[in-house]
Amino acid sequence: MRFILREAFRSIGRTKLSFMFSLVSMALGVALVQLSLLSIVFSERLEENVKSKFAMNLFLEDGASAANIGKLKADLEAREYVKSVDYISKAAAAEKFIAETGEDFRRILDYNPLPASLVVSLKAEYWDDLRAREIKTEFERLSLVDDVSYETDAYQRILSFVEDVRDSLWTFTALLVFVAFYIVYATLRLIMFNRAEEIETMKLVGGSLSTIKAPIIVNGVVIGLLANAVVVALFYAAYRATSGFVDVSWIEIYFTDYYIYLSFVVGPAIGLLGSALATRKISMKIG
Amino acid sequence: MLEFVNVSFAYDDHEILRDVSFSVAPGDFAFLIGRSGCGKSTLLQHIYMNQRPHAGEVRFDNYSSATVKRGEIAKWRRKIGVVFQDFRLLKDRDIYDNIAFALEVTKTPAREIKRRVNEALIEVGLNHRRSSYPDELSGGEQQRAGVARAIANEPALVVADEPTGNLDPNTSLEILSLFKRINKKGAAVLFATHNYDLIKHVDARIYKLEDGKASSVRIKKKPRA
Repeated sequence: MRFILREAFRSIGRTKLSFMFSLVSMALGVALVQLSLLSIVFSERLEENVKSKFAMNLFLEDGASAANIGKLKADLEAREYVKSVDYISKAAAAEKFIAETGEDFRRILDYNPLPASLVVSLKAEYWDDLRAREIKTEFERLSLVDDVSYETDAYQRILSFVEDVRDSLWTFTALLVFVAFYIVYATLRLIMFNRAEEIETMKLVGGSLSTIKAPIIVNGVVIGLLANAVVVALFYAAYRATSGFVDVSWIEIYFTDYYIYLSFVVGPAIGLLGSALATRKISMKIG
Repeated sequence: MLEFVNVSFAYDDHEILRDVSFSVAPGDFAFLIGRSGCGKSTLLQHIYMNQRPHAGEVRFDNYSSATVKRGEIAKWRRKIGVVFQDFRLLKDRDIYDNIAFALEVTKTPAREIKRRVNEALIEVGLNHRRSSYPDELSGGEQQRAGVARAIANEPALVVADEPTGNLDPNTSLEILSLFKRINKKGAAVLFATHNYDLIKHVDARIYKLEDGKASSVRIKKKPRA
């Protein structure tokens, strides 16, 4: 292992300029990949947030008794796709209407025309347009339920926008990963070119293919690790610098374990794959 | 130990080796002679498995070119020391490190590396130049370093491909006597050269490669002065 590390760092020392160039390029690639990943996590949170607010209003028949409404509420709560059920009485609906519109219909009408309702929030993972329509039909068939409504268009527009953005980000991220991957590949090919004599000697004296390739693969991983470290340091510095005059605390909720682990793996993984590809053609053939 | 059995090899349509058969026994010293470009290097490449015969078989130790797996080639090569005309030393490290490198690659323990490199340096008379870089050495010294690297792994067979090709006559004789010394210590030597004058100085088996065929020849030895 000592031999492999020493040879790897000797190669880096010999190709300082190209190593630095690839480190900077790779750091840029990793930074953009991480920003994309962060944006994807952000869009996922946004989608969850939108879906968590999604609810269906089940307007109840006027003559429904409290006991029957209680039974219906319990029946709905037991369904696997239901997150919560809130009962809004006729009086509460009137209060809400007056609060929202500022118009007190009680001055004109001597009765409350608003129906009592059950507001059913659905679990985010069960939400999509088709499923929502199926659930709506199920709810319409329930006794005591007079009508069912939900704001389909607004939610649908937001969600499809978020999905489009996320798809574009995945494509962009894949492209960036490819670019970063190619940078490592090209650098390691150059390192291999500079180390041609060593590689030939290794083959000649009986070095195994894994021993011959190992220093080059270590080079790739080192580039990836350093690029990752540079990016993490820069991101942290940017976070600290901006937190003094802008409230960036909100961003912390997006630093999930998933994102943090993934971001630390990006650089080394690209380095490892790039070097594995660069060394793929090394054979035991001398000359 | 080393046996060529009806080995044939061609580059494209150009036949280089045709039904070549010969053998080198443990402790043998053999010359491989022939004109430049007759295929000596190609034949030697078959010995360290850089080429595989298109027909026939190369046998070395317990290995055979017909059955050796790709993963076993490294082990095959560890039993052979190879010396080239152009020395092939690594210019960015001193002579000690050049020799040690060959042992580190084969995962020899550190203490053993130290012992073997020191022994090899003493054997070739370069102990005093151990910290010199290849460019600081004469051609003869560089070739001694090349020989030291070849013998550091304690090979059963040392193969030399025109090792005196870049050296003056006196230095060539010095290198030749170095190979003789190595041979006396137990390693078999196969010395390829087109310098017919050189082979007259040693009593050895001689194989001549001509028109792709190898034949055993006798050359009148030079009387000692």
